[in-house]
Amino acid sequence: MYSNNSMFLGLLICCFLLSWTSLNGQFSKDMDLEELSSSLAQKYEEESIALVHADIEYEFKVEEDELLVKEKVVNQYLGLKENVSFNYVKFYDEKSEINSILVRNGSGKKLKLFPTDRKYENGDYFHTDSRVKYVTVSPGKGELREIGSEKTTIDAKYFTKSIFQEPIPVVEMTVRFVIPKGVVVAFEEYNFDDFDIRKSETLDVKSGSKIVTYRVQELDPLPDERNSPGPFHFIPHVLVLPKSYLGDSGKKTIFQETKDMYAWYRTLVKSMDNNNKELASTVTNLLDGITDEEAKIKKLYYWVQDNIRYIAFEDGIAGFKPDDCQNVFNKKFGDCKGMANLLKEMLILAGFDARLTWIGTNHLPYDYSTPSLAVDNHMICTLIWKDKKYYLDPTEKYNSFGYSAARIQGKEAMIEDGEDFILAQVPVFQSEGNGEGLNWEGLRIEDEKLIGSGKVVYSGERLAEVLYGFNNMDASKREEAVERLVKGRDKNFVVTDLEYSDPNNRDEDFVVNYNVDLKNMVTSFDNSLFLDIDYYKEFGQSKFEDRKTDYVFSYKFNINNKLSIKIPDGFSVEELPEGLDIENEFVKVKANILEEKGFLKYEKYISLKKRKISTDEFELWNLTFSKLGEFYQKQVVLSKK
Amino acid sequence: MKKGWMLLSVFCVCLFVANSSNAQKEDDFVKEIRGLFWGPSDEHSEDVAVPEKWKDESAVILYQKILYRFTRLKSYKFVEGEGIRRRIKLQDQSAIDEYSEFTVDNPFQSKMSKSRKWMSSIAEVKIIKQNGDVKEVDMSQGVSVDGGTNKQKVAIPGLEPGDILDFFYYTGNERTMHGKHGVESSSPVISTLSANYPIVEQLLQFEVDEKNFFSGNSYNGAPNFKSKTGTDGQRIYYLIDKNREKDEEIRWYYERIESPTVKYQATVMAKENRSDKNYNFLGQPGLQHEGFNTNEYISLVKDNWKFTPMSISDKEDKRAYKELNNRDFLEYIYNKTRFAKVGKFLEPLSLVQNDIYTQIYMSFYGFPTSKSTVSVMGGYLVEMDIPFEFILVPPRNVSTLDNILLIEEVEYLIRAEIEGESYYLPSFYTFNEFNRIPDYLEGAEALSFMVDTKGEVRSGKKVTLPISSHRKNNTERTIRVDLSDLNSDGFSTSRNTKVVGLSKEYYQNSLLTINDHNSIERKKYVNGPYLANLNQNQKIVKNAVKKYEEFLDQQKSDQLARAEEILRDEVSYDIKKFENLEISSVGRLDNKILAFEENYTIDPSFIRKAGKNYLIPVGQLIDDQVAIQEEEKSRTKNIYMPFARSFTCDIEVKLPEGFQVDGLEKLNKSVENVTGGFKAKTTFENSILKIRTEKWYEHNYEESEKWPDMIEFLDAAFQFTQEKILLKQE
Repeated sequence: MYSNNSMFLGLLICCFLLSWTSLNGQFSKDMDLEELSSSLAQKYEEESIALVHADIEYEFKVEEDELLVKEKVVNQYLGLKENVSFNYVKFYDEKSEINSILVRNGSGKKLKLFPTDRKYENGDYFHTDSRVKYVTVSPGKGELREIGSEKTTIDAKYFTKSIFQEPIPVVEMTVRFVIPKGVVVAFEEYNFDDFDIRKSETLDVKSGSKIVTYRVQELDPLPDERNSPGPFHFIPHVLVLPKSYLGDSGKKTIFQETKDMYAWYRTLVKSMDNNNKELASTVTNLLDGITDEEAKIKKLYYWVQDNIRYIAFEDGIAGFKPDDCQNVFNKKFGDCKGMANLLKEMLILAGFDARLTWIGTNHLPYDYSTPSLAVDNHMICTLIWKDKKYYLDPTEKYNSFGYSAARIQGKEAMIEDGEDFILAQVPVFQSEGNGEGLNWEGLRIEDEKLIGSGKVVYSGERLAEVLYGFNNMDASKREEAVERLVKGRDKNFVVTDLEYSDPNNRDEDFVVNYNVDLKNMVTSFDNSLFLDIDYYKEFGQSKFEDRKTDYVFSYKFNINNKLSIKIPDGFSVEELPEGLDIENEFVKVKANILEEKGFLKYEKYISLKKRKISTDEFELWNLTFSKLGEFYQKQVVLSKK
Repeated sequence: MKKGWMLLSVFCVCLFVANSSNAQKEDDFVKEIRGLFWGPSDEHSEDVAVPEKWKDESAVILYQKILYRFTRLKSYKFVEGEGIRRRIKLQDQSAIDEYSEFTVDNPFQSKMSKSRKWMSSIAEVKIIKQNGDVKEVDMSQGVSVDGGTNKQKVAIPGLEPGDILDFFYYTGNERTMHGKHGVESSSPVISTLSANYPIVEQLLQFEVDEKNFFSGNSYNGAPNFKSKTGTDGQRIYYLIDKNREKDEEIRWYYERIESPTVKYQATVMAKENRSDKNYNFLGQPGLQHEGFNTNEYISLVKDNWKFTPMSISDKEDKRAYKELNNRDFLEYIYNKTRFAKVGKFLEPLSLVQNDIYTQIYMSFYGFPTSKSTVSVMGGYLVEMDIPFEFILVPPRNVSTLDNILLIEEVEYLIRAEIEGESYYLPSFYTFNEFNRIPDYLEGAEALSFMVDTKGEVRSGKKVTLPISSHRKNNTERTIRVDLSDLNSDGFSTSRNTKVVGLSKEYYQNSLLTINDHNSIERKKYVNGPYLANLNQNQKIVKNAVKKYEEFLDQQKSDQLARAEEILRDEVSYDIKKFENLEISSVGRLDNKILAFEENYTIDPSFIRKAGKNYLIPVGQLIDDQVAIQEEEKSRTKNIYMPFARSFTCDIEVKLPEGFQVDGLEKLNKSVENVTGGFKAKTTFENSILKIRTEKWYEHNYEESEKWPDMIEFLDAAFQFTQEKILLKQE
């Protein structure tokens, strides 16, 4: 939906566009760029550059029996402020090359700006063969810069998508696919609903090529917010699905169907040089004395989690082909593919049916009904045991056997099955058993302090987080770290006699027991005691403000806290805050304080029912948690009898 | 033709020979360096045992060797080499993660120097497994790290808890002295002996040519240096340290003053230049210099320092000299000279350093040191016929006077006595002030030298620099909070702050834009627009000014964001909205008070409901207070604070009518002792709650025995922030 201002702006821009007489339909030096710049700057206060015109062409070509994709881009950028510069970036790797990047000013004069070629540094990868070529461009306010680039993808199956949104505002964009005769390409459109994107198809009579064109108008910049869903959940884009082409030797199939995609994955798997003999003695030693099958599985699964570091080398085909199991074993590091492969081979040595499994995490909105390399980004190991499938992900440290991490729950997995494959869905788990529970029973009030014993229990994915943090911390600081987990840096909270359960046991809750000595939670005035019943006040300030994208929590969690405090002799309850009981589509919140047999009993329960809170649920979320915040503000009042 | 082929053949042979020779020299060099760390004389190649007391540490350094070499090649060329060898046992996953990747210089650039002395880097790593197997890591399997750094990173394979990693890294660099008067020194090392992991044994070794200068000494119980002669005739100075506990994190502590510390540095000097040695505090070539005693420093300075008069030739300066008294002229010329050397460059520098506009050219050679400052200001005093004291002092966090060894440890300032009053002139740093000793020098023991009106240094003696009173370093806040409508969705608040003395610098540095503090001086000394000093063509100046004005807009919006961040850090209640910041005075030149006002809204969660009554944590309205944790309460180290300081807070809280206030007694406190104090006084009248608090630290240093006294008032201040009042309906 567009506001009146946006429509006026659109009209204004259309007027400018109509006045253009250039062959290319681009912006002219006659155009009042200053004015356009000012109006865009007004609309997009935070932005300093806008893409006012983009013309992108992808031409499919058969050369030397291979299907290539030649990309030509001509982008025109307008400066909205002074003192800004930006990088025009093109990525490439072993399967592609950047042929040229040229920069011109608004008058068409070529500028002496030469691209820098660098490795793509990404914290997720230790090394990747991805590189970038970029130029740094600094248009002044109202100044135009035209950047043209050419790129060739030398194997069309690696050309998977075209994205229509940019990190800066886009005024208009044309994306054109030129598909010659004999080449079959399909398109799947995503997230078009909220945008003005029009598709047309024409036939070039002369060449016989089919031309599919998408025209896009007025796109806001890509939002950059924490905890957003994976960008392909909301960015308008098309998946490009090259199916087949006519090569020198006849018709060549790329990914006509999912089975073709699997067949290619299978060739990579078959090209591995696995030698699990090097793992055999370790497997034997690990399983020595263990007869129970489940115990064996856990032993091996947890061993890979604990002993293999995640370091991703994405180098050419290594981006798709798993590293040999013995390499991962010897190096003691690997990426998801290598770790899954190692775990599979260790389980096979132990006599289990274990399979490599491809999967797209919930970062991606696709499934295997679409045959494309874009649909998956992860590899795990599926164990088929007692007629049930277990999805083992050794990259998830301290993940408990039988539970799947939130990022793959509900996603479709492609499990190898020889020359065939199995599609299955990873089960979805609820929030119960996935969070933390506090238990402060039998506290007493003494000199305005709360004194007694307490316990906190961590379970599910919260357990995994805690154990991971604990075990990856400097050993000499772990005790202090557990104490901080309980009390933060609060000077009012003195923790003594701290004990905790086995921090290596991910099959059971992590329990921390301690003594509580908490000052300044109880205040006395004359004959009354005022008690701040909830120390932690989780989510009391939770609010979504000025947010454009949905919010995704790492996992569905619950918090279940119980407190009981002995009412001091000679006191009775004067005031008890009214409880809270709210349930809606995304959360259940319950908080209650009762008086029972001389004790104050407080119980609070917060359970997140789904991970993703959509923008149209923000209002209800804010209302729900403002009520919780108000509840936290209320004091229990005890008065002398 | 035949001759051509012959020449080509000869060339190819030469090239082959050269390359083979290069390769041979590479091998020789690798062997040489490897021999320094892992050679036959290495007595630690079998070290595996970890002392029982360190069994639970994340990692233990079994052995460490730190090596420096300062080797002359020819008269004006020398090689500086440094390397470290570490043999470390990794006992948990955290240590494995830390050592799982190495980033090193790309090995061997095939860059040959004519002599055998390379400029290059070499790193080698091996893993010793628990069963004794030794695995060498192939360092050529690294991947390059981009960004013009010429580095590569290597993932270390096969690491498990319990493994020992033994590695060394050495880098050599050829340097040139500049001409006959060249003086080149290694980077000074002033370091404690501890590291982030405990160390079983370590060796620090410095190798210098016999004619070079070497200064080295150890302090606070660190082992002493020993010396020997190397196989090439070089002098080797070394120190062996054992059983060293890891670094401790201690609040208000200067580790180089109390913890075992070493200092060392080597210097080469062109043989024609021997006089500079005195300026650089050097000893005798070929001998370990352990520092001078007080009398020796006094002689050194007296014999080698002289102040040359600074001519007062500028028309305005002449007029000022004529019109003002000596004290006022001194302040005038100090401020003006500081602007000329620092202030005038700040605007253009901000454009260059932020890559906004780099076409600017300035004759800028770096910010002045304290040494150059005293040289200039001393010159003016000589010109004014005023004798003065020139003071040499080590910063409090670097060294004590008796332990000075290296020239880099000392700072300088001037004390001038005019009509019975003392005036201090510190270095020309942006936020230093006329007649204010920088905090890091206050209370330090120093050497003071009398300089006569001819600029001759006459005598020297030990002095202790004064410490400013906490009242002179005060932060005063006036806070107004409107709680008249307790059901409001936010409580309007204003916070007025006035800061004086040394307390200003934190806010001047973090809150003010360059324009805030520099424009006042530019207007005074240049009386021109932005970048008025740029001496370039009109087009460049015009473009630069345009860019600068845009930059100022950005600075303003960054300033607001920064102010909000600082405020949120300073208070413990939730802020719903930060409205604005107004700076009324930047605390420079004539107006020594830094003053600003913030307006914001406190979140409604500030008010707690208790039936019909309300609980309000008014104690939180003063800034967050230092919270001394239980584990900090016993302390053996002395306490080093930045400076004596005080904080006063006047708060007015407008409460709704029709309520009585309980709990005022807890808001009246008084704790004071020799180290400082905290006082609070609270009244309630006509629905206005008035709170006045004062907190002060009496000194900048306390002995550890005084720690319980400090805790007494610190805890009182912290507890105040926890106090609440009860508003009861009347």
